Amino acid sequence: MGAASMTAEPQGRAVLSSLSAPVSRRAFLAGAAAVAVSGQILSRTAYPELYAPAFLHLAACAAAKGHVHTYAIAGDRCEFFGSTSVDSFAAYATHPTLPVLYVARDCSQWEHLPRGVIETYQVERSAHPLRLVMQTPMALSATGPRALAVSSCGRYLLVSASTGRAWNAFVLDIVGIPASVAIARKETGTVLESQTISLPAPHAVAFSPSGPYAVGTDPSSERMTLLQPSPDGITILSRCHTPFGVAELFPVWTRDGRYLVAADARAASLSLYAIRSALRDRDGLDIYVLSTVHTETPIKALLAHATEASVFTSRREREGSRLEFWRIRGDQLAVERDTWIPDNVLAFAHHAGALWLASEDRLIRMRYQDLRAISAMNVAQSLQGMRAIVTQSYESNLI
Amino acid sequence: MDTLVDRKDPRYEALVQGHNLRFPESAAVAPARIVICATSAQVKQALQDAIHDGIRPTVRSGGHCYENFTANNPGGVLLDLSLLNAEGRDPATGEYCVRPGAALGDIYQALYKQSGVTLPGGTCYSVGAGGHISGGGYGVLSRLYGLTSDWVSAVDILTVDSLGRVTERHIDTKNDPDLFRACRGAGAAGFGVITAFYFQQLPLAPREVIQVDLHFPWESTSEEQFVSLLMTYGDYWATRGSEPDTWGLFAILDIGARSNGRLGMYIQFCQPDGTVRDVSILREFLARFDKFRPSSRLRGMDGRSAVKQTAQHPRVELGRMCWLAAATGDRSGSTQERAKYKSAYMKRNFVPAETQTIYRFYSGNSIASLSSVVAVDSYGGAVNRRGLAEGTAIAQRASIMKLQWQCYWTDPAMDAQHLRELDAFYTELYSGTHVDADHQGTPWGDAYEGCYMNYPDADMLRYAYWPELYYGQSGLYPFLQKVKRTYDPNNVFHHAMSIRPL
Repeated sequence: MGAASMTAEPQGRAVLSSLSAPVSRRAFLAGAAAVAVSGQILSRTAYPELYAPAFLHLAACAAAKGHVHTYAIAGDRCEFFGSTSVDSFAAYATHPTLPVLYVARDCSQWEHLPRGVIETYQVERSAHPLRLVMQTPMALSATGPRALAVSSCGRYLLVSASTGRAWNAFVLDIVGIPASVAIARKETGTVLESQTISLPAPHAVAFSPSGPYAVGTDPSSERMTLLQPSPDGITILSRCHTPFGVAELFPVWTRDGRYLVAADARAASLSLYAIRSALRDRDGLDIYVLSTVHTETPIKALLAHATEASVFTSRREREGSRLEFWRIRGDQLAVERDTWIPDNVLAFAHHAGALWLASEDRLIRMRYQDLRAISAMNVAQSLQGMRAIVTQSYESNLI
Repeated sequence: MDTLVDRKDPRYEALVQGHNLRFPESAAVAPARIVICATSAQVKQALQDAIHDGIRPTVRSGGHCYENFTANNPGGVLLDLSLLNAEGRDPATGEYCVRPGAALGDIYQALYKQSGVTLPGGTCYSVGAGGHISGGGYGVLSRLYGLTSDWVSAVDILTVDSLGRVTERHIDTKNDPDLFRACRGAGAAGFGVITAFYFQQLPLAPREVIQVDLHFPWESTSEEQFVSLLMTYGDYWATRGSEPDTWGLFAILDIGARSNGRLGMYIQFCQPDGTVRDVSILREFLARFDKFRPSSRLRGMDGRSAVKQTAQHPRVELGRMCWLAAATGDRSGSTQERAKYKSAYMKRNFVPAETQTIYRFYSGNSIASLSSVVAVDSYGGAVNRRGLAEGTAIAQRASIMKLQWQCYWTDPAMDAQHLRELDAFYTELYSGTHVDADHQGTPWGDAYEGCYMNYPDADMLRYAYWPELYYGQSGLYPFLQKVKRTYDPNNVFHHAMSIRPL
């Protein structure tokens, strides 16, 4: 079983725990068990929700067939619930307060019309953890969804339509169900003539933690856009050219909503963006580049710290990954801590003061404070084409 | 200045709907605003504004679109071109110009009174030129003169380039020839906004015509007689009707529910020279139907002294009337109802399986049978002249009949049942050994030429090959996709059945 052992709970569900068997697969994890014990104690004070249960969803996609593997996590325990098959999986996002998961399917046609579709799942603690409750078509010609995000207020779902060159927004009702009709905004003709490289192709979206506006990236036209959905439409608050392009990796907001960090496309670098009130419009916002810091290799995973204005990154280095913890100092990003692990880290999530790292075949739990692994477990499910992991608290809405 | 009508405007509710009251399907999917344009410059500005605002423009001329291509536009803008409606001849160039908002009846009046010419277009007076001509434009003179789009010599169109700039183009066989070809039959399929059609020449309007209505005794018609009636009708168009001296003869076999007694035929005739001095062809045609015991009704010269005759061999001369009265007297099509339409082109006569299916459906009492008709239009003639397919975007150039299903009702709660039953009827009609095995449910194969884009039917979208049903199998659709990529790279102009980007 490698780094993890498997036992059977009374209800017959497999439970994975990293700590009951010697870890041997990676040398660096040799001391993980001891760290984990002390880590729990240490973390309990700093993160009172340490043992708060949460779902961890892990999405993998290969040959247009996607799977969302759902686990329950609490402390260093990780229990596999079940897998859900999703055709043409593109991206997913969790509702901030409800046990609801949204999935964008990367399709060029839905019900015979050229448009993508958003699936809404109720998340349940069962062997079939994702129960499909709604399929909502995107606007006509909004094809090729790539990303979606839910506003922190839980009112709006924003989706990119890459091949449809549009943004779509849905108003969410109180139980998280999207309105049946999408609010659409086309990006037609928004590229300046002087910077025409190719047609717009909206890609990533990320809502600010500070308000109902989001940043959308467009690697094709190399820019970021601040978008504000409302029932009447999607307003463009500001646009910003990205000096080194913007990678397909999703940007992240810092916890305070003042900064945005994004990996660059045409350089191994990380750019820091700031949000400020627009000079010309008291209600408006501007986004602009503060600084860019170069890295030895391109950033492969990016995650904002849960409580501080800082981010975690991962990039390939030798046969493993270099993890770095960046803090914003002035208008610069600076590495405060880093470590190397012998895994190819594909995505990050966090929960209860710890990082959850997904590599090609296992999940690693790591402490915020010192980037040391607490535990690791092999994942039985195929992670080929791993896309992303997200965590979702279910403490307040047990089903 | 154009006129902006938003949701708060008291005119909004009246203007947002076209003639098919199924659309918009709800307030949520209706356009946020309607811009009524009376000049090309206003259209250009309104279109540019829509691009700038990132909202979808849809375009309406007369409001007769059969599907939800214009009124279903959530949060978007509906460009209403109904006041861009001039028509006439430019004395300097000799060209005739028709603007998209002009109603067919008004066009016939203007062209006839100014120059004695006409378009071989449709019969509904209030249908707008924009969608009608760009999608083909077919009517009672089409067997004699071809499709309206066959006569188009140039088009003014607004396109949107990759940078979102609205560009005015005057296109013809020399300027943007591919786009010009696309606009002669597929012009409503998503390339731009047409603001004018030009015709270097147009056919002379007939001097006079004869109109005859036949009514068959549905109640006493057996299945065998019904089959025979349809096959007699189809046989004429497959044989004698292909000869040029008959091209002035046009007919619609109108089949509705037996319980409604709706089984009839409308006929309009003139000789190729536009007169009715010799009615032998009409008599020959009518004689074929004597055995079905029709009563006939002639529409007299003064437009009101209809003569009902129950005797065979009616005195057809009594139905002589001037062409303009015939062309503009039918004000049908102006009512608003909930509706569904379908179509099919036929290259050969009916086979018994088809007629039996029609007989069963209209002998029954399903909701859709009671509220629908299938109109079997004569086709072919000048439409099928060689060489037209290559210069236009109408692929169907070998058919002898065109079928149109029309279903009308008023209660929104009955939408689903009407749609379901009509679709099932259509699917059954085109299922069986008479249809290609891989294309069951659709008019596909040696006997058929698919469907007519001006009678769009979103049910066809369930077939992956729907573009070939509407645009044929000879490479027209891929050609249109290339045109789309060139002239509408951002897919600004789209609807459920527009050309899909490559």
